[in-house]
Amino acid sequence: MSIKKRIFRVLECVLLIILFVMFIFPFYWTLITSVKGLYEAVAYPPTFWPSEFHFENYAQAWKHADFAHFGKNSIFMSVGATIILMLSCTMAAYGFARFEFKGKKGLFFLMMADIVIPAQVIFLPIFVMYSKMKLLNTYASYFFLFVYSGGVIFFLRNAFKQVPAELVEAARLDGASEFSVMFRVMLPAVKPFMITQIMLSFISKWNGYFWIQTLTTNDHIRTLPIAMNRLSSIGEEFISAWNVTMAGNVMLMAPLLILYIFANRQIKVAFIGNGIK
Amino acid sequence: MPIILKDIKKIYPGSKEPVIEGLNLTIKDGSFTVLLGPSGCGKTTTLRMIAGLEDVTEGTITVDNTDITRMEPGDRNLAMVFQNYAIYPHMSVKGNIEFGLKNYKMTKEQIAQRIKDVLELTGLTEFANRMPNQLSGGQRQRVALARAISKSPKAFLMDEPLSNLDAKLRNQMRSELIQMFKQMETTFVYVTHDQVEALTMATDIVVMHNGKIMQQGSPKEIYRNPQNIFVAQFIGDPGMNVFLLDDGNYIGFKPRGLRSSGSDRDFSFEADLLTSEFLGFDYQYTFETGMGRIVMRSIDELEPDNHYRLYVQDADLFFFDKDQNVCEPFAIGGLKGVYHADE
Amino acid sequence: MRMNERYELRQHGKVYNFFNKLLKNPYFLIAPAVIFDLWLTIFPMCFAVYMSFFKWDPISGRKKFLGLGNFRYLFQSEDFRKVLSNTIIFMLAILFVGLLLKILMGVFLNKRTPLHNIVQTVSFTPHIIASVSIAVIFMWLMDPNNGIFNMGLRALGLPTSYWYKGRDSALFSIIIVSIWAGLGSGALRIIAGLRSIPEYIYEAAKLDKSSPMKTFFKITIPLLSPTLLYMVVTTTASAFTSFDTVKMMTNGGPDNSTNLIAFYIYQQGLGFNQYGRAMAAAVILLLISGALAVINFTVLDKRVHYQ
Repeated sequence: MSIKKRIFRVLECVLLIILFVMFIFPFYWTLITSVKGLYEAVAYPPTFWPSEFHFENYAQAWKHADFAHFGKNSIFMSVGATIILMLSCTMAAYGFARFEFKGKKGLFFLMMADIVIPAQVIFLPIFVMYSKMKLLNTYASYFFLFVYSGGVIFFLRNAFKQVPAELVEAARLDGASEFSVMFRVMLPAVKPFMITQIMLSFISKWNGYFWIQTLTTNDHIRTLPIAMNRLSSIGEEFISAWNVTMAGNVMLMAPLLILYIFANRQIKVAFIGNGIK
Repeated sequence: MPIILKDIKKIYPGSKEPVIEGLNLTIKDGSFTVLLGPSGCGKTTTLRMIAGLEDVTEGTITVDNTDITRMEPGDRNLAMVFQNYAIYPHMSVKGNIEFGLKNYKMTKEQIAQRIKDVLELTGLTEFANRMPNQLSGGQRQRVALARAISKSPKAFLMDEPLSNLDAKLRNQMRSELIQMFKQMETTFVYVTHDQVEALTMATDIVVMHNGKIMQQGSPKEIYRNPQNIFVAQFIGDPGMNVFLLDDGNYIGFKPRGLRSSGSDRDFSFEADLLTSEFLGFDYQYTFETGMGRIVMRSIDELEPDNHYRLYVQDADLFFFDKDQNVCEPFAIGGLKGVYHADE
Repeated sequence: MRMNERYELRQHGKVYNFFNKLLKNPYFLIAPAVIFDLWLTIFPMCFAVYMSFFKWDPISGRKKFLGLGNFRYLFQSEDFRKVLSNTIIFMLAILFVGLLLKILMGVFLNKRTPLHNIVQTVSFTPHIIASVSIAVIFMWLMDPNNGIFNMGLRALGLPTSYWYKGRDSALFSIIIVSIWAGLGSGALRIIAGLRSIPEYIYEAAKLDKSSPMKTFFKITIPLLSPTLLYMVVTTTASAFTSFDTVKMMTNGGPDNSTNLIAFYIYQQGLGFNQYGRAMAAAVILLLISGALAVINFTVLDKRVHYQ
């Protein structure tokens, strides 16, 4: 190895370490703060390893921000919305991919509406509608939002279209019913795409903030991100209990971070596409 | 149990032009019928209409004297082998066969027995639990055949099943298909654009062009006695040379009927040798006549870049009338030009 | 032969056949999606446009037609002009600085060693966790009194900053958070784009004695252009719909210095009950995203077939 090459190699490693620290440090600092004592958390100079562990911060955050209630909502609503989304969008994508029918082009164009129209344009009319229909603060009002998703329908339609038409024809010649065609031929053929969408949908629902923030007026159906919002303001306004806030934040991030540790390849592919492999 | 197509018309939705019109075809029971023709001639559409995968715009299809024109594909008791095999990629070899059988009133034991028999017949027994992506092209082809055989259908429909295989495997599968046909004693309807497949396997060939049947007959009839110019030029390697005459009639001769020497009584004309290709057993020569190019196959070695007088004996001449159908011999008048049916 | 034995097809019950037919009916299949699309996307959009022409007091429910009055108000209002300029500064920053960093990082990280892989994975993490979590983390890091950022500056003897609580530094702080959060996923997108360029093109360039610099600008960048254009469009769109970070960290403050258009709509609508004004701003947002969609579908669609 020439000297020039060796210098480049060292520089490359240094840069990699800088990038690594840049992205890992905020998470490390969150985790460390979450187990520090109240005074150690804000002490100057800062400590990079807690002198004593205060796991009671987690209990405090749990109690303070009512994680039991918000967490239950988060799980129920993320899972529920994902199921509803997958059901209706799979049906629609299947319909668009497999059949020719009158008005197909126009209807498909209509399906792309939410790709163009931002949520910020339509939340207020929906708020007005929901309050007139007495739907505000109901689980149904939340689930209704995810019956339709243009992006998911578009993605799954393309997946279904990749399945060769002959497979369906072979199944029909085999005397298979539509149930068999759908559940034993088509759905298994697009399984990887479905898993991708389920993952993406669950992650976005778990992290979702805007709809919950705008379409609720009380805590009945609010989820963990809202609890976090409240915890952060408690943290900074009164006693600067950043350690408790960070404990809450760790609890909010933990499910997805654990998922990411075990399935980081699949999740990266889900978000970016196969090109990243 | 013949398959009879009567006055079939097919217009694809969204288009006005029929791809098939006034098609009448009887596929004899127990025959190996090959629908042969260039791409776009309607042969695949015809097969898919028999299978029920395409709607019939007008006309009727009967199998066994039962009208199946509007029947669901699954109710017709026909099996089809697709060009790309259409094997279910997420099912094992066994699962692929089982999937179809489950729709019949068969007990578990009957299904298991049938799968065992079919796998044995197609030589797939050791691959029963393999997934399709672990199989070679030839093995996948066999799975598709096994799946078709398992249903013990009234007829096998095959849509260019060998076109995705390499040349060597294709030859092998061809003889296996002939064997299978003899064993099954069932009607085969086979679509291809490859005349070698048609001539080697078929008991009946149906030559199609532009949605119409040009000729139906045994391979020998089709090869030796083409009924019209299209068949004459489509069959053969290469096809027939045809001259358009001043009076509007045509004469033709096969490349192998052309000689570089002959007598004054023979039909003859002048030509320049353009190219010669050595094909092992014989040569293929291309000549420029001044009215168009013609092709000759011969075991004689000719000098390149030379001028020749070429001869055709009377017995090797074919006569076609103005409608391009075969007719009685007539006196040959002036030559107008070389004619190609597909131009 | 035993195999020639033929069996009858199985028959199904009435209920089964009924649902079986439904599965073949495309209108049934797409009905739920179409109905909810119309109800909760198309209709609200039309309603938003309609509302933008009215002064509407949600408490009394009284409506008054203003014509373009709301729009006139917006463009004359100091606040809204500030909001627009904030949004454009924010957009330009995440577009130019953000995109440049993404390209550099993507090119740098495009190797398959374990170390590169770890950095790729770690830098992508912000993409999968809630924007709320990221906001809270940075509120803590940037805390003017006890945050590690100011502690670091103090330790180095540099002047400290009020970060997201300072009028002059708040927008800058929001931009830092947004760029940091989008860097990893953007770099990964670049890497995916780079890996889609076939190796033989680089081999051909080598045979043509193209220098590394020339290869990068004349081959890599043009072939990466579909990815880059896609990123430009999505980044721009995200600038106009950015809400969570602002809501969490600054609530648009201090003194409107971080008020972006998406937050402004929310603030006017649900905060100040000015439905008409909020919807007029929403219509402006709709026009911008409509224009971006047109760019996306026309220019991008053509460029994707570049290769």
